[in-house]
Amino acid sequence: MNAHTRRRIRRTIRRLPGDALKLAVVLCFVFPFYWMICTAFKPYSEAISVPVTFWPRTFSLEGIASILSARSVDVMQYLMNSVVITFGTIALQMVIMIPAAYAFARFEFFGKNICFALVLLALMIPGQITYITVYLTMADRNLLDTLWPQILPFGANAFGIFLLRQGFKQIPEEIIESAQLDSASQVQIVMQIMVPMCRSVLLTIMLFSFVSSWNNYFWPLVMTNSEKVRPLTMMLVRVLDSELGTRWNEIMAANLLIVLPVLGVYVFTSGRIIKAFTYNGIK
Amino acid sequence: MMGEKSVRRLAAAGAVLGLLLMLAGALLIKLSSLSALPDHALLRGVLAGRKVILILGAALTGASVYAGNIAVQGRRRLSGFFPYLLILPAMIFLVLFVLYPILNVIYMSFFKGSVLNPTKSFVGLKNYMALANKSAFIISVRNTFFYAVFFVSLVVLFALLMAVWLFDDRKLNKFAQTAIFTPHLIATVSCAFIWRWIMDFNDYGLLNTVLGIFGVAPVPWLESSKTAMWAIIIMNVWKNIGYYALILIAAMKSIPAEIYEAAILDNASRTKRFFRITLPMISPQLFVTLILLTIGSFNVFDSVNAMTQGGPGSSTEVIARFIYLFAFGNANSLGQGCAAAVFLMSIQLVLTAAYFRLLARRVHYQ
Repeated sequence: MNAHTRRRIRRTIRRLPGDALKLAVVLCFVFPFYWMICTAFKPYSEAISVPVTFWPRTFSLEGIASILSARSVDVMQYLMNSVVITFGTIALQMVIMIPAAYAFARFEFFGKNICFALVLLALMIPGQITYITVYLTMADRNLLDTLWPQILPFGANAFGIFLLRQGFKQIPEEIIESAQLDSASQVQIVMQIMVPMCRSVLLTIMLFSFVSSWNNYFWPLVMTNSEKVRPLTMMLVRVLDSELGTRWNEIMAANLLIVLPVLGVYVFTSGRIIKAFTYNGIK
Repeated sequence: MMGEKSVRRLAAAGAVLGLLLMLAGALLIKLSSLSALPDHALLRGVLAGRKVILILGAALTGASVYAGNIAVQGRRRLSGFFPYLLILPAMIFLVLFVLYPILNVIYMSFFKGSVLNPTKSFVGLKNYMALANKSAFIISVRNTFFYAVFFVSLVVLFALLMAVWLFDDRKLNKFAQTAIFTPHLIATVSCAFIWRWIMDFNDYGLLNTVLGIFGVAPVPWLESSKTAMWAIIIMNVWKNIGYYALILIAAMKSIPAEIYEAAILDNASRTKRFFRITLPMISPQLFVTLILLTIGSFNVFDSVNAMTQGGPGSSTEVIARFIYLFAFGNANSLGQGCAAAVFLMSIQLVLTAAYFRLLARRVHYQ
């Protein structure tokens, strides 16, 4: 054994207590999700048995089956609504965001700063202040209890406009000028040069929108009443209120439906998501 | 010929005046639909001209923007009014769903009304006065402050600890960072329900089982008014540590290594390096983190609604739930809900301003 290996082994041993503690801390953050999955695959009798089992003694699909069988709730409807709301929001945001970011990044016009200040204001003002008026507006237009009040209020994604503007600004002027010499139209410049060059920023924004839209709880709660238009996040309370008492294995099975898509996306894009969420343009 | 700068200034003044006129016109149109208005010659005259005022304002704004835009673009890119077309959809959405709602909530807070008739009668400041005497409101304010103080300080403390602890570039740290960030991505309701299940007071509750191994007597987490707010704080701290730790790690990564190397040459201890180098260098991000956390903590709603519904008793009622219950719940208490919303917004403004006054000069900018 040479000196180098010996040093490495010694270092590993010295680090062992710290690393073990680190793993224990990591466990605190991950275990609740494991516990959700574990409970979802237990039969009800085992979920509430003592002593607690950390691995399903009898592996059972009882919870998942009863959620999917639509005995008490129509899961497919909830799932459809979530999907439509999420992708509708992302699509609407893109249509609004791309031209706005292009204008803020590339043009000089009177009132630009005021308009941009409005974008920044939207970043600061929480939904808890604005939803009362939005509710009344939607009521006026007979749009309450539809999918619209869950999509439209998020149409202008202030954070996205902000981020995409930075991205557009970084594209060298020469590229656009040479395209203009080739008599490319404004639409062509945006769609064929700028958008493809900012693919990664756009993907980041989309991931961000996906997570916040999929997880939205407050707006559906306020704006809707009926199961027909409510997203998955509204389903948990319905499962909880089942007449059979608190069936925790069913609740966790339902929860799995909300959590798994996001966890799945995270597993594949963790680096990008972390970058997207920790980017806040400070400094 | 006037200079470009003076035209711009004139146009800006004109646009502001025009927007104010438009606002006044819109307000008058809103007011004219009220039934009980004091009969006054001047008011009647102004009301009669409400549409004229609105149109005048719009015309003045339009003309100012037109003149101002020509002045701005004068010698530069001649894009004309194309950029306005590009930002129009975004502006419509922002005005409709951010700017107008803020103004309208302030407006409605001076009225007594319901969802069906938001501005039934003008009551001045009575809604605000009523709030000051309402025990449900006082309790929710107190609970929200309690939550905010402990939530913010615990998240900042643990996020800093984690950031220092998981800073080095190692595989284990990368893995740990990815792991502790996970809860931030998951819906608050989902996390709330998972923790409700973990904190179950029955013998099969996981948390009490684990604590029992260490000899701790079972805690009635969500069942007791003494611990329910702590349960919510624990859940939210757990959910947010990872996110803020990662923000602080990103900030620490941008500190030049030479500074640390110089400090090590000077035999500065680890603690000294942390307090004299790391902390001052990340102070801008720490400052922003503190403001975002504080503003966010006063909006707490999802977790409370999903975990305790404000109970037991009213031990976890918070301002956001008060607004929700009063704006839409009781008959004719919409105005009070709006007043509470304005109050919430004011707290957040005042606290942000206070942070700037007290802390901004301690923030070190490179």
